[in-house]
Amino acid sequence: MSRNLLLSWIFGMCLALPIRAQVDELTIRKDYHDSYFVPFVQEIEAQYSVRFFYVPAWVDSLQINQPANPTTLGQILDSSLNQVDLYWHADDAGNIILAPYELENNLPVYTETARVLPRRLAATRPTQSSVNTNKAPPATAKKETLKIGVAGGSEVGTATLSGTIRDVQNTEVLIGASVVVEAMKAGVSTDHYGYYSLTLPTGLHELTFRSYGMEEQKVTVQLNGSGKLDRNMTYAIRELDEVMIEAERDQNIAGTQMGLSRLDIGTLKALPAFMGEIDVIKAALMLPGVQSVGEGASGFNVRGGSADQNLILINQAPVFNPSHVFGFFSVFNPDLVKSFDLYKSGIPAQFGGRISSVLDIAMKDGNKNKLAGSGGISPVTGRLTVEGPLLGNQNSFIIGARSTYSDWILKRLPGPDLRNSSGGFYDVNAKVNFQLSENDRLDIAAYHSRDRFRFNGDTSYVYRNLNGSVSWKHLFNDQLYGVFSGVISQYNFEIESDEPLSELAAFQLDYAIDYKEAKADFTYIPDVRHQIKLGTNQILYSLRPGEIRPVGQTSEIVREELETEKAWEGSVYFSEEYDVNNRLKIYAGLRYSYYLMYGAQTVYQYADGQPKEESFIVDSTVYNPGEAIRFYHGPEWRFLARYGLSEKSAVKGSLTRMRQYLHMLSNTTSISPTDTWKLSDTHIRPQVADQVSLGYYHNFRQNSIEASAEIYYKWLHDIIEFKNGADLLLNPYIETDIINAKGRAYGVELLVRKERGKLNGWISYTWSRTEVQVNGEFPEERVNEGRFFPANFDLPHNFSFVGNLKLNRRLSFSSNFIYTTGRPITYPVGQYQFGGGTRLYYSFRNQFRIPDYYRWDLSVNIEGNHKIKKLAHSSWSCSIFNVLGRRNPYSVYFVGNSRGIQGYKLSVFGQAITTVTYNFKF
Amino acid sequence: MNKPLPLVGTLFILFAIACIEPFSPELGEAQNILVIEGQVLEGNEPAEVRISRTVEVGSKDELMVSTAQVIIRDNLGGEFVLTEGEPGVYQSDTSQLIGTPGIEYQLSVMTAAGQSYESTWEILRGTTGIERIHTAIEEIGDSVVGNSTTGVRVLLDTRDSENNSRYYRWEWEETWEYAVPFPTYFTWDFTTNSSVPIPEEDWGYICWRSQVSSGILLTTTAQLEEDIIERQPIRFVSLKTNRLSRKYSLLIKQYVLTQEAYSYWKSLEAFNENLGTLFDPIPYEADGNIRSTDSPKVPVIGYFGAYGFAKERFWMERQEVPQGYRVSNGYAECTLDSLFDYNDFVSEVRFSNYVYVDSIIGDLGQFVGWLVAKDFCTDCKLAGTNVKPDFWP
Repeated sequence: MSRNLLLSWIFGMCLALPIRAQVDELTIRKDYHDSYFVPFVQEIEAQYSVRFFYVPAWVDSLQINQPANPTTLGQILDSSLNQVDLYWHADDAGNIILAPYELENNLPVYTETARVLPRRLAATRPTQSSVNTNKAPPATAKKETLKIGVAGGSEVGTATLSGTIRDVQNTEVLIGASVVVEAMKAGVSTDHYGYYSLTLPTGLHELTFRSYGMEEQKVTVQLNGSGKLDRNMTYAIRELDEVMIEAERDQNIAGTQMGLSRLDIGTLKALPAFMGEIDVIKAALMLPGVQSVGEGASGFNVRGGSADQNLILINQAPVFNPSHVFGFFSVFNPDLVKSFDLYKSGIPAQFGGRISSVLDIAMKDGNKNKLAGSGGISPVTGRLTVEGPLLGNQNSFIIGARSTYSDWILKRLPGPDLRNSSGGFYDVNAKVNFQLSENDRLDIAAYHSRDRFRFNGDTSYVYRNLNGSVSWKHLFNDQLYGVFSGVISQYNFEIESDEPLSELAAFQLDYAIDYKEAKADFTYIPDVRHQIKLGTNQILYSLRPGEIRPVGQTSEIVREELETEKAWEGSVYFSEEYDVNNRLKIYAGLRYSYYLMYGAQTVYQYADGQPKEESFIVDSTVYNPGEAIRFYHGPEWRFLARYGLSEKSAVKGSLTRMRQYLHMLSNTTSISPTDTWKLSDTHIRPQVADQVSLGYYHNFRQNSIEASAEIYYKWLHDIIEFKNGADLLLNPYIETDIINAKGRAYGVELLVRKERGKLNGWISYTWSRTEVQVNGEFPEERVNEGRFFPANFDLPHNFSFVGNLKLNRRLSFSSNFIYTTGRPITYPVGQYQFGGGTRLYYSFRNQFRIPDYYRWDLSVNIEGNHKIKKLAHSSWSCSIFNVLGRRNPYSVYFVGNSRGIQGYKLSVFGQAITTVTYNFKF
Repeated sequence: MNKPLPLVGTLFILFAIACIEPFSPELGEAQNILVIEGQVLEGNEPAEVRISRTVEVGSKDELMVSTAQVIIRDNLGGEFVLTEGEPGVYQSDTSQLIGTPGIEYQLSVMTAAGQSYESTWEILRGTTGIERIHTAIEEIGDSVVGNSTTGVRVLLDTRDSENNSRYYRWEWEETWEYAVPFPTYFTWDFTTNSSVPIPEEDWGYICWRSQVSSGILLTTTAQLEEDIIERQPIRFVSLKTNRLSRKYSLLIKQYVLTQEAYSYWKSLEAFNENLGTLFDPIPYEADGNIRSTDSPKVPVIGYFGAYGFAKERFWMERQEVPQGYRVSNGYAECTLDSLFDYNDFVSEVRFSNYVYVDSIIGDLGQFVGWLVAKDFCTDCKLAGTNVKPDFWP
């Protein structure tokens, strides 16, 4: 219900005298048969000087049946509203107000600050759901009885109830909200469009609608036939972003999905932010099983996977470089992010292409009711987002931008080198959605981010992501819908160097990747026990692995360009989720992916029995444009099963296989700005991962505390490793530096989280190991003599704590603490004199560890006052990053000089960093 | 394309309020792996092979390997035995082994313990010599913070019109002449309490000091159309030291490498000099071209190279430093003090590193006191040698 409607309602109420006579006198002579309420109202409003006020969701299944006998409007309203337990009230101004209860004739006495809210919005506490259905529902839960379908209709046996669940305040659809029939132990959760479909036996059911941060709703439905039931849900605590981990409470034990973490923007906003920038990826690092090699390192590692093995999606489009400033900030503007899902195991069959995880970021929909905006300013960036209805209130747009606003930080750093540098980044997100008809929805989204850096006037870096998607969702019927999408994603970087000393070597280097995808996904829900998904996607890749060219008249750089790589990747999948009985649920999915690299391309052949080296090239084959070079294909199975032990606990297991055809080339510990992507080809096989995981889930205190323990073991096949001294940029014989290696990862993840109440948050502990084996045929294709060694991101102990204390509606505190074992590092084990200086002798890779890492962050969020009428709602947030000022080592290295060898410890943040951020909404 | 990365690294260390501090983690036990460094140079330079073993990190010792049998062969059937001079350092006889472009060389080493090692065959690629050495005044560091240094950057140009050289490495040896502000020609004899002349060969007024490069200086023109190097920085000579106080000389040695040798040196550079960025490569032991002939499992470190070679000496006098730049003599803190009390004189000389410079003679010619100065202000031999090098004019 929009504020305008609310205000006029209140206003209307103040003037209202219960004069029903006028309405009773309006005589209607028309025949209405199965006419929906909304068109009926529109017609009445057009003919008579009356106005209706109501929430569409209350009446969306209501039909008016009125033979053409002269009758009054009042009688029509009486008889039809009675079906849905609504009452109507009228004033002498012609306002007709519908309400789910009788309105008072006498105005209540309100104190000055009290807000006049309809009762259904005024609940102040989230309701506790009852696990035991024998108990009466809590008094605060709303009860309504709705009749769906025509009584005694043709559909006998079962009927399908479907609809969209939205946030009443901003019309945003709610993802992952659950609709549960507790008596039947049946339930579904909404998809990315907030849509649900539930097939039930006809009859009387009590439905519970839940979504995190929202007030629970209980609705009694008399299901006579298939129909629609849209719900608008309200924030459990008004005006403040509810801070809690978003994951379906019931889903933890009732759903099959495991290894899934979902955080919503409320949680993200409450976490202490580095330099005031709320960061999706940094928040993900607080979850069990997610790690990073160090501060400022781009990317993240999920359950022993390297950073390129994460599929990062925004609006269904992959993002190839998720960081700004080479890793300090992530590229997602927090004002436009609604929530994200991180799948670590049991990845649903509709996802593929990366072997470790899927990070699916959902962007907000624009507000359909009114033009609104929000923004903020931090020491690093300024942000502004505008959203509102578009071409009527069925459609909406949202556009947001974020940018660094000056080089002022650089200008304050010591060193002429830094003062002469310049840099910055921006990102822009835009999305429009159109409700084309009741059954069709169209979403168009675009995203762009760009970083530039110029160091001391001679070397500049520019890199950008650009992606867009169009998706059309069509409801074929209540049980079947499809989503058809087209996606493009581009990433490129440029390095330009004007050598300060000599113009001979001035150059520009370009890299680009181009991704195009078309896909179709269908969901079929035949009955409450089955959900079937099937679909296909087709991707075309075009990679320009690099071009270097001279800059300026005097440059002697030789122009060189590597051949463009082209490939086609496709898949088909089918999955079914089946509730065998109240205790057992299974999910079985099969994705079959195939991949073809095609010309034009020159492929080298290397001598048999010799290492792959340039000197052993015996032949080369030139493929024509479009000619098939190499075909790979294989099944990817996804199995999940859940067995309920009791109302409060369940065990789940999963078996997952993933395949990956696109790989990042990086032989540094963390991702560097010049890392490139490479497609599988004749020499480089696709990466494959198999994972088994098992988990135990237990909810305490009426689902308000969730505990889980998951163990996993992963086999990684043909992962990409590099020979010592690999040269990855502009290398035409790149296969000579790449080795397909083996890996294994295993661990235990423990998590306890409390989602509600003044104090909420989570504690997690993970013990995990990740090991790699590079054991080629020849000595140069082995690392550590072909034995397993710890991967760069093998951090066995990982503890994190996230706590949020909400003192009152305006003041909240957050704190997080993270501890991890130091990452593995290669130390020298000896020294010697060579070429006039002392040199270090390194032997085996990653045999030592840097000191352990721990960090404590704090933040305070202060909301402005909550007056309804003011220009803008503002909030302040103050965060202290690394409160202890601990100099956590990023790396330890040794440098030899004429005086000998000295070891150094490099800490990225040598002190506590305090930032203040101002945010506003209008 | 390795160049831009260290810059980014440097930048972001600072950008992120980073800090770097000395740190000494526990390292494993030293393994005493055999290290062989050998080279045959173009022209009349002696071939030299150094054989040692690795020692613990931070150790001041060097573990040289003596009494090995060291032989260099060429592909024309020549075999040259190297003889040990200093322990572990083996040199060829320049009358027999003359490095010649186009010839291939191989090193063979047999240690006293009977283990033998062999290098791959290395071809010697000649150099066309150093074209030009010149200088530029430069400021490094930060003048605002106050840690900036102005100095003379010695730069090198070279070119190979046949585009063959491509991979270069340089070493340098610098020598400079300097003088102390308060030279002394007499010393005080406390037994006779009189001044005694210092023999001329022990005078410490003008001295010479030398230093040899220890870093790795490499470049390649492989990505360039033509084999031209311009303004290659060789050495930065700070005006805050006394190097340019009188006369400065820099001997630049230029080596032309094979591509394999270049990659070896490049990785040596990467893991010894360029670490400490956010994007450090993972260190590994560079794979040299020397192998054990007994078993591939016997580890050996090092490289034997045949290098094109040229050297050029560069001279610079104080007067050549551009006008307006202050050149330090390195003795700004030196003062000449007068002492009039014998006990003061004795204690300053005995306990405070002061040295007798001269006597103070009154108007009437009578002895009044002593002129003293810190020892390093009076005797340049404390930092160098008063023997003029052979090449010094």
